[in-house]
Amino acid sequence: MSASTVHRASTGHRAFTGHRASTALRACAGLRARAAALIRRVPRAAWLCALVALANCLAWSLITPPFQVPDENAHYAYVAQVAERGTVPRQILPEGLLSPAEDGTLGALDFYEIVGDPHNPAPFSTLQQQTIEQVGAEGLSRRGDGDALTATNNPPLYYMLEAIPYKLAGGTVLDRLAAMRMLSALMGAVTVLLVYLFLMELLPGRRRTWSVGALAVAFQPMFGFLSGGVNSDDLIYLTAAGTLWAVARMFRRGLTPASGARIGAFLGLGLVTKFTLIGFIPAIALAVALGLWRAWPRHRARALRGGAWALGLVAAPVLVYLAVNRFVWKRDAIAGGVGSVPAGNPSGAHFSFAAELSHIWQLFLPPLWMRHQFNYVPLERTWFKGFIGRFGWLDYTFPEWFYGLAFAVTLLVGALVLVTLVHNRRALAGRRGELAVYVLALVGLCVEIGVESYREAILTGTQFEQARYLLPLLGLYAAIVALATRAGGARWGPVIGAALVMLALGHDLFAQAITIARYYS
Amino acid sequence: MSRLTVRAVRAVLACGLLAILVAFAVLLAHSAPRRSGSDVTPNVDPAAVTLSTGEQACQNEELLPADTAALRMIISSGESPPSKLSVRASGPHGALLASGALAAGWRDGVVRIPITHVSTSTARATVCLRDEGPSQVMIAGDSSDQDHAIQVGGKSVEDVQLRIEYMRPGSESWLALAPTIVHRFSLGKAGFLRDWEWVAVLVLMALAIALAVGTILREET
Repeated sequence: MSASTVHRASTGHRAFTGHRASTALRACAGLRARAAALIRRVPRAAWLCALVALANCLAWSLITPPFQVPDENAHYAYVAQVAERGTVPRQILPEGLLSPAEDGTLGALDFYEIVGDPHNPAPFSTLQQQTIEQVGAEGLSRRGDGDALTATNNPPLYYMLEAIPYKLAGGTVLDRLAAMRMLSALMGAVTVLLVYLFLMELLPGRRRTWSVGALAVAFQPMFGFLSGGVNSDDLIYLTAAGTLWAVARMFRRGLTPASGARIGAFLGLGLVTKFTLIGFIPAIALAVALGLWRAWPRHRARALRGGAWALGLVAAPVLVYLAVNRFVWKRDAIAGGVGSVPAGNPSGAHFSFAAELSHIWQLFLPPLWMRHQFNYVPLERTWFKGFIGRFGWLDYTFPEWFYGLAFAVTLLVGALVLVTLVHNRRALAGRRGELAVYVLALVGLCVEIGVESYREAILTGTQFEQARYLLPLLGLYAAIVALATRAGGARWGPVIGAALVMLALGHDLFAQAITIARYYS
Repeated sequence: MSRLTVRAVRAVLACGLLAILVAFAVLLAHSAPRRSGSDVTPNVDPAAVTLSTGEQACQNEELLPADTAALRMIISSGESPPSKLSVRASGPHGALLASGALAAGWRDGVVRIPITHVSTSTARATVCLRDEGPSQVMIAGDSSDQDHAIQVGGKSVEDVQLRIEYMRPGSESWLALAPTIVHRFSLGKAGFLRDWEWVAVLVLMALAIALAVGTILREET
């Protein structure tokens, strides 16, 4: 090769590289500009609502003693496994050991005595503090057997994100946990931001109601309590709110590659956080089908690309997770299975599809002709009271009169929503497809919880269901509050909205007060 | 939005905040006996230990907290008239730290036994409860605790722990207890949060309330 050829080739290569670099830079700048424009389009009120949620969730993270959020010890162990060994946990039978550092800290905190017993407080004495500090200073190993208890079978996304504050914080188990809780609180804030955006799309032109709905979520005590702890549910709430926002936006603006990608991205990320969001899949399939139907035939190509983006972005992370799970981490493709019941199980109970259907029904609705599977009313005890507030490891509640008061307020809000829906029945009829999607999201999630609940009942005879599993529907809760506000019209709507926000605030502060009384008095 | 509506919204916000303040003021003024500590034993067996007249149950490895003036236990005498009960708390080397007694005539259930005031915390203390007669008493606790043993009538009884709560003197309002709660808030927490955590909670909630009210008011305009 002559020198001139080499020179030409080299110059050509530099020119090509330079061209590629400048194209990439332009693309980056374009993306940045688009992102900045997108952020600018978010109303200031949405940011303020998110800030309210951030402050509230951070306060909850400081009020709740370490590891007193459900399964926080298990979720911490998962993050430690990711951060310390760079891999996911695996099930060890009988149950594996946590890391000496975590186990020692749990022991020093009297964790095993405090959880489940509302009369046992958090550490009161400086002598206990000295023991805790001693454990922290011993430099115990942060590596366990690789088992993360109840969190072991979860997908890894949340834990990979939490590994960042875990690593950045360094120090003792308590230092790391506090930093991880801050990231969860940030997820809570983003969830409220997405709820606001969902309301913007759902109820266009009703600006005041968006803030009221988003603030009702920001002050929802169970949401604040959970978002102040380390639990993969926190990212589920975010991705579910994002999915609902993306669906509502698609209904307003049509199915495009961008809207399809948005739906797929949020749902896909949700699925690799926790498989609970499988319950959303029928609703999302219906939403995309309706999007295609509306676009047909005029915007067929665009809508098809949108549908493909949605499908691709849902499937891609899940398929990658399943493959990595199977071939790299050597776990079952779907660790722990979803809704499957082994033929032989320790409880001796047998799977029956009819009993499963009956179980799912009774979990949410009053039993009809069926054999009773619960000796209480789950609708009241698990879902209503649980949503109003059942904190810690389900070990302390509000006084009974408070649930009566909350029920009265719920009836009032329900009546206001009914007034709004009747008043807007024509608009509602025009949006029945969209409404069906939200109803299907609710039903799908309930069925998914019911399947898991039945599986747990058969396998272990224990109760699985908790109100926090319905919090992926926080967007719909916000919509109910916003619709109640609309019942008052232009004149009284803002007054109702202000009253509902004050009620939500009082509810949240009362929940924090009983939490302080539970652990510190 | 009409001026009337704006005024009504402001009135609702003001009334709401006032109602919350009043509710918290009432709550803070509520007075009741408060704990100085607990041995965090679950109350799973109402008769974890039964004492006959003249017998005593001694539990060691107790953390006797500072500012204790009574013990709270769950005790029953069944159908019989309740016995006189006496308590002795001693340090790891046997020195008497506090003592007290409860005259006969108490009612079954949660029983408060006054003791001499304890001003400093002591780890590895031994607490003894003696049944002074005339009848037997049953004390609640955990009878499946494999890590603990207690002495009953001078003999070691395995797998048993009594539930003992340590009480501060008299009754206190939440407001009076606030400095103690602030101290407890700093225990068992991350090192970088410990000393300012309670301030952070107050600031964060004040910020959340201010932002929420500000957002609602902003929407009016």
